[in-house]
Amino acid sequence: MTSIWKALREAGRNKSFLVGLAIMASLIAAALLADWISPYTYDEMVIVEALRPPSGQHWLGTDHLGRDSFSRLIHGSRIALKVGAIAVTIQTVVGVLLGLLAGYYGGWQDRVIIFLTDVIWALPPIVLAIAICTLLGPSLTNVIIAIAAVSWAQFTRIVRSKTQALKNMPYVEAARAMGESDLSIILRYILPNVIPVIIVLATLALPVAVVNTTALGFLGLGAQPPLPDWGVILSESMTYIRRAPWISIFPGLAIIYVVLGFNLLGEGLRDALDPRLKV
Amino acid sequence: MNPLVEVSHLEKHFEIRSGLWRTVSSHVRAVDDVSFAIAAGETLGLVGESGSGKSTVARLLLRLITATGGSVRLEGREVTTARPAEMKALRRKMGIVFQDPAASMNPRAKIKWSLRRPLVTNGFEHARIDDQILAMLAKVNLGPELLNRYPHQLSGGQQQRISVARALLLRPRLLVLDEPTSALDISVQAQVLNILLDLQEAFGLTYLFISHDLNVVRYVSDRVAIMYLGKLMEIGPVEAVLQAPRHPYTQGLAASSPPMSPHQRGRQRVLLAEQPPSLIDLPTGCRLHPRCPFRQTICEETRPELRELAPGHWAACHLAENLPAPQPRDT
Amino acid sequence: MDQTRRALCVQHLDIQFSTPHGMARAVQEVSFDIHAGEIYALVGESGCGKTSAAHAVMGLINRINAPGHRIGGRVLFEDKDLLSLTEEEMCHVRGRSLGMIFQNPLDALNPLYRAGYQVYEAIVLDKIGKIEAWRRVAELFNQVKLSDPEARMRSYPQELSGGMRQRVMIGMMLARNPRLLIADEPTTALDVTIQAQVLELILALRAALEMSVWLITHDFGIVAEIADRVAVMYAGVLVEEADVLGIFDNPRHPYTRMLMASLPRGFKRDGRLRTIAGLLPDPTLEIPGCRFRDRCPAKIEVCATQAPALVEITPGHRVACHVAATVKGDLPP
Repeated sequence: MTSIWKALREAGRNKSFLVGLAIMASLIAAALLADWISPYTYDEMVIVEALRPPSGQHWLGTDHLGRDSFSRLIHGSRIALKVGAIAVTIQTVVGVLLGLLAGYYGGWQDRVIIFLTDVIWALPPIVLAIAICTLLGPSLTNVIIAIAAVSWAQFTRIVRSKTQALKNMPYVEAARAMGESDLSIILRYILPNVIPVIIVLATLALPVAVVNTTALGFLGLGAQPPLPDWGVILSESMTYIRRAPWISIFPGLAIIYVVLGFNLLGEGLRDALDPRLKV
Repeated sequence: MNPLVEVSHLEKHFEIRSGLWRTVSSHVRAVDDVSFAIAAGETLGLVGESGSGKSTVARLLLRLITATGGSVRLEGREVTTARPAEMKALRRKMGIVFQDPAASMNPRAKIKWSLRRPLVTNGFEHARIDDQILAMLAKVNLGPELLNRYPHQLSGGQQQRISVARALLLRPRLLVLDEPTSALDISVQAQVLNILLDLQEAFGLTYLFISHDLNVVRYVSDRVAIMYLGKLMEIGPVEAVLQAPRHPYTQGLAASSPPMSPHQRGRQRVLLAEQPPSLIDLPTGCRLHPRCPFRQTICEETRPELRELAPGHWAACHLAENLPAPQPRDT
Repeated sequence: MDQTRRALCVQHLDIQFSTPHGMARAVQEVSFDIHAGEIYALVGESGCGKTSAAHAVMGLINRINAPGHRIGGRVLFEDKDLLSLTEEEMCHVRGRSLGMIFQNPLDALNPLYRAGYQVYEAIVLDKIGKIEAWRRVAELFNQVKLSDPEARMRSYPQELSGGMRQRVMIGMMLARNPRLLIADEPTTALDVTIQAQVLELILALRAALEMSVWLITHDFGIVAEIADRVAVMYAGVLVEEADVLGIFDNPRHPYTRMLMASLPRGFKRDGRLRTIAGLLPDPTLEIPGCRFRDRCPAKIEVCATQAPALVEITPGHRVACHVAATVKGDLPP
């Protein structure tokens, strides 16, 4: 797989890729080391300290229950990344599998799978996610299911069209002629040539998943208090937005930080791995 | 002598679907009632222009696509309906080399991987695989240093020789060569053609050599088959078909083919008029008639069948006996 | 045919491209003349520099598609040095007296306009009346022998077959009565029966319009069919130039001789083809002596140190080889 490493080296010369990489590294570090970085636990309430502005003691101030906003924000990144990563993994696996099947076999398999992606694409994703969460009940697991359910279709569509192009390449025909099975062809000859696209798509899907997680949390359909989900923090802070704007500003900035970081990373990877994807 | 390959009434019609319910609106007759045989150890050249169906025939022979009719027999065993286990055994007896050498190997895998796969997947003894690969590389005049490279790091000639080596690793009886030198420079083409002829002698291989280049086909073939719009027009010994063609299409093709010497500029030229018609809307009767300089009423009405005009020399033309004598081409 | 009038005169053409490994010399000191009314073929295998030479003459190498390139020498056409013209002046020349057709005519035709309109546009610039211009389009479509010209004029490029598109392109070129037609692999994408028709058309038009044709090709068959004079390039250098019979019957440069022997002409029983061992030299390296030396079976000591000049060995036959005059008969294997 030298070509992927070569592409990564090339991406290393790309400024937006490097900035994105730095942002991603800082987020992962924050999530992993949350217990050590944050000065307080995310649920420690000191009512008398409630709604304090940023200070030396509480860097980002405190919320209406006197919890340390910085600690909650850092712990929140853990939720955002975990939910995002799991949801993206699920939608990638499901989307890529269906895309390979539809593209390789064509025929009725293709028609059924394409019909499903059309259905998904016909509905606004956030509305669909809200519907799924309402149906399954509020919990982080259900958020993951809802997000994966609304986002797999783009993987399927792109992997399918890539697969259709690859399956008629002489090297794939040659593999069939020398007795390779369908499974072997899909896994050994087609998948490795689709992986660069998948990496790019997954990187660009992560910020979308994070935004959807916080949106569902904000609506009370995802993580439940006292979990420091950024959406939960935002919805709790709404009441105090005039008296204590810092409680809502910092989670908002955090979301922007994640979206920006992963988009820069994804675009840098796209330029290096598969410039033809550029729209 | 029993033929190695027997193709009879082979047919591949692609359906064209259109409309809301995707009903079949028309057929593309890519290959239509094609029959021929290839004897063990001989080279059959298959010539045709784009749309003639020559590459479709190759894919049907190896069952890379399924036939809609007819049969293909290899050593007497039916290929078109073979069950998976039998098919796997049959595949070992057939190899194929494609036109585009750059696209013939997995771009993300090293050459070594591409050469090991056919042996691994067919259950060869692991300990002997590397020796077999090295021996086959030597046969195509390549050294072991290429094994750790990626396909794009090789020249076109090297890539094509690796493709040949890979196709021969399973020791097939039949090798289908689909325009194997069309993408190569002249001097590289000569290299690959020489190797193919050497390998044929060394292993007693049978070739189906597909090309649009009459000079190449003349050089490698024992017999030649000419296809036009999915139909076999003429088949016979190479000298007969290419030096004294009996079918107007072959005559036109031979006259259109650039000569190998400027001295042949004054040769008699039967130029075919116009463009070939669409495969969806084929002419009635003889498929060549709209372009044929000799056409008569019968050609528009009745489809000509292949007829044996001389021992082993067949042509599908109503007028074959009455055509003006073609001028023999010197080479 | 007037052999003394020159349609195009290329002098010391030198082209270098910038690559990650340094400057690559694609064309080295190439000089030749194309006479009025002749078909001059530039032949060679991939990487020999024939396409770069043609593109440089047509002004198609620019800062955008080849940043850091260098072009030296002169290309005289109608008393002008094409290499010193501005883009605007070059456009003027290209529109009038210099016609070009390419391997893939679909790239040169706009898919959004009908074929007839695109030819009309090329004519109407000449400030002739609209009706007159359309009449001329119909005439041109007839002249390039498009069947059913009325219907073809109304077709979009993608509705035409490859052969028809190439005819439309030729028609568009003829609209301006070019003195020189540059044809870069004009029939490579076509089937042989269609190729024969297009070659026939080029021959007929050359005779009727007395234009010169510069044919760039890798196919010796096409050369044998229509060329008057032939130049063979190898690794950026023009190695041999002669009339077509001289190249085919009496090639003098070892490279030309080996190429001729590598063409399949006979049957399997006539024996194996000649091959040329080795690879093209790295274009980024400065090579002393003859660039074909490493692959040449007839090389002598001086080949390693001194680059052979292109010299006339018999009238009209130029060869760049130290041993061309001395080595007769078969080349050693």
